Amino acid sequence: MASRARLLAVLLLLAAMLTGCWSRIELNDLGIVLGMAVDVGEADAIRLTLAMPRPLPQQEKGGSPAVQEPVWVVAREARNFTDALGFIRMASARRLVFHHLRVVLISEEYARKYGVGDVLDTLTTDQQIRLTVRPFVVEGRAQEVLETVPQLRPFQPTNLIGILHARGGAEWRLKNVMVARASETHTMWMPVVRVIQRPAMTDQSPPTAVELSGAALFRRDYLQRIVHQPEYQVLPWFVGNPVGATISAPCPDPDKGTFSATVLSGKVRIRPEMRDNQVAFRVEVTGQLNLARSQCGLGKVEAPESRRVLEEAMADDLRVRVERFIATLQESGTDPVGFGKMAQLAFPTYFKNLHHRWLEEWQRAPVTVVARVIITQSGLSTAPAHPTERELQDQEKQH
Amino acid sequence: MQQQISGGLYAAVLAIMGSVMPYMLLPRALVQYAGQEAWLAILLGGLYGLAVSLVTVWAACRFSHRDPVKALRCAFGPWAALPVALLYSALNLLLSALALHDVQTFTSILLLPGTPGWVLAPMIAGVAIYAVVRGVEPVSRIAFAVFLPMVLVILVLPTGLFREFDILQIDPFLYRGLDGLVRAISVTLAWTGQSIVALSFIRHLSPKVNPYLWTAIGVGGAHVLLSVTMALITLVFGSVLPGRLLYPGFELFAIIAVSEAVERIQAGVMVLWLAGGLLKVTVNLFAAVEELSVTFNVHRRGWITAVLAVIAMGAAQILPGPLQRTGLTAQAWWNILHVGLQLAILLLLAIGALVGRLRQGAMASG
Repeated sequence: MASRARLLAVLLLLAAMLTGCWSRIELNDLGIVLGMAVDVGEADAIRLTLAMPRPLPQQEKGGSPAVQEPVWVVAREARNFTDALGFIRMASARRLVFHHLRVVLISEEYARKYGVGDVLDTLTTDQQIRLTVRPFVVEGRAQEVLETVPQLRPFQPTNLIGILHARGGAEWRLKNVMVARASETHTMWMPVVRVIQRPAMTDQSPPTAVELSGAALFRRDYLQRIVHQPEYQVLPWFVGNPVGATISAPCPDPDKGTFSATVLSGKVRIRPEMRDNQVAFRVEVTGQLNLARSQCGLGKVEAPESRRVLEEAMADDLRVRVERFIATLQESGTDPVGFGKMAQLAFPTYFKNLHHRWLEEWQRAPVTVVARVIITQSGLSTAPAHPTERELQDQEKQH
Repeated sequence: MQQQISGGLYAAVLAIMGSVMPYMLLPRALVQYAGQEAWLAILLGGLYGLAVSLVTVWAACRFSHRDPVKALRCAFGPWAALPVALLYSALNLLLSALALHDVQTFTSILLLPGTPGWVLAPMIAGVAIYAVVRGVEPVSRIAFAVFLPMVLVILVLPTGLFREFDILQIDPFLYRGLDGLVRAISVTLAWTGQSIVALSFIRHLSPKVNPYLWTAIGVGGAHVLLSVTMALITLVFGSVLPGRLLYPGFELFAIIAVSEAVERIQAGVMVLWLAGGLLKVTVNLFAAVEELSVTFNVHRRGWITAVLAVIAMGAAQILPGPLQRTGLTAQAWWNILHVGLQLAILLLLAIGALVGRLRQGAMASG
């Protein structure tokens, strides 16, 4: 009997401990940080801004709810990242937690001046922050992005992720950035966002909105260049998935206008080869396209001749875009695509002998681009409505 | 009547012993030295573990009831069994303390932040004491219950990580050369050699099953699983980054996000790991208690278990943090100490088996 009582006492004691609670922290005491922005400070080196969702205001008795912004955006300046965070903590009535941090925004100026190394180190050493956080570079002030009112999502950090997801293409997170940073074969890149004025001219439209504008290319920890369209359009072909992207190209007869197609499937194959003791690359781009519109007046695209002419024009345009993108990478001495990795896999001894001089070597490497596209679909039609058969016959007669 | 366990339970104990703690603590050091070939280091190091366990089983099978310590005590007196029992118990007590330290550190950093280690240690030790006092059967049954879902998780894991694989994270084979691989293998030996714990379980294994086969399944299976997870770690995080992360094994689960809504599945998986860690503390404590009890012919083990558990708890508090612990794993003297102890125990067992055989021969001819 006594032993049973002892066992019961031990079990009760263990049951109390099994909750795992050591110190009481109520949910109401937590400030859940969703977004973080890093800018160059005006008085100090760094300006850190955090965005936290504000709990819903309580309905006042017999009155309307108090009008408050749904997000608390707070900023402090300091000599370094952790000091700035410390200053924000001194102003926060809730304990800051970063388990749900979604985005980190780094201003272009900060990334160029100080580099992103310190910020990335702080993010990875913090045990609350996960490697699934999305890093962005901001053209202009990063704080402004968090202050902008989103339209289709409740908070700007989730809005930014929504834009990335809806657009598709490249899925790039802190983990990918850190892998690239630790690597000797390729360099970091991050998506770029910017704040634009007056997105729509309606009465209720907010004064500003945020849009995805390009990709930031880094050399080591420092921002080297930001690429916009049309080069940015090529990036998903190399580091993501181009499916769903739209390409517009001039018609075979440029006077007639342009035609557009969406990518149904796309692949890039990088083949390294040795030419005179120097690595060179042959880049083969292949894609299957869905013709979306055409001003080219070629009639039914189910006719192989019409299709071939369009395919050649589109392949030529795609080749030029890829060549321009690669030229930009080489000029800036950046390699987010992983040409270095391909060279390393193909010629390990050659790569080892470079002794971390890949980026210098990359700038000199000859690259040949070959593009081939097939138009396999034209939406749910076989030809655009214009021109009519009669118009086509007239055109032929004129020729 | 001595408790008996089936081959499956026995293999589950050995598999948990060989995989749970190395999964959390070894990847960092192995990737640092061997880079992408960390998976190979585990497999090659596992061969040493397999050899240690098979030699242990072979030596144990030379004695009656597969109980070398008892046989030596009965044949030559308690002093004959003392060296091997003391070395073996000391090694297992050290391993139990280290496992306790690792579980409490990991829990207080990632699962229950802010909870001091000294609060967790008595809870873990309490469960371990209970299981040890109840004997081999509860220990092995818990091991089996933990091991099966763990295998399932590892088999399903690649599907969750598929989109994380990237050509940019793959290196040419042996890109860092053989030196790094050899260094990594040397680090694994201290861990894989812990399969010597088979000594305390082989006497409980049902005589109807093949001891060598089930030992090979348990120890070999652990290292194959570990090697697979190691390969996944380098495929997902590359060959450099895991060498800079404290717990790459944890990050492997934390990175899985099916969508913005389905994520943090590591919280569920880590419960399994925690149970495995708790079991490691228990098994090592069990092994230390078992051999000391047999040596001194103690039937009521409660006090020995409690005293050894308190020693393990105290020792677990000596190392201040995870940095010191991971640093220790890579120290040459530390690994030499472990491997030296393992080999010394094997040597003493082999000598005991040989002397026993000679004596039997002398008695038969006399």
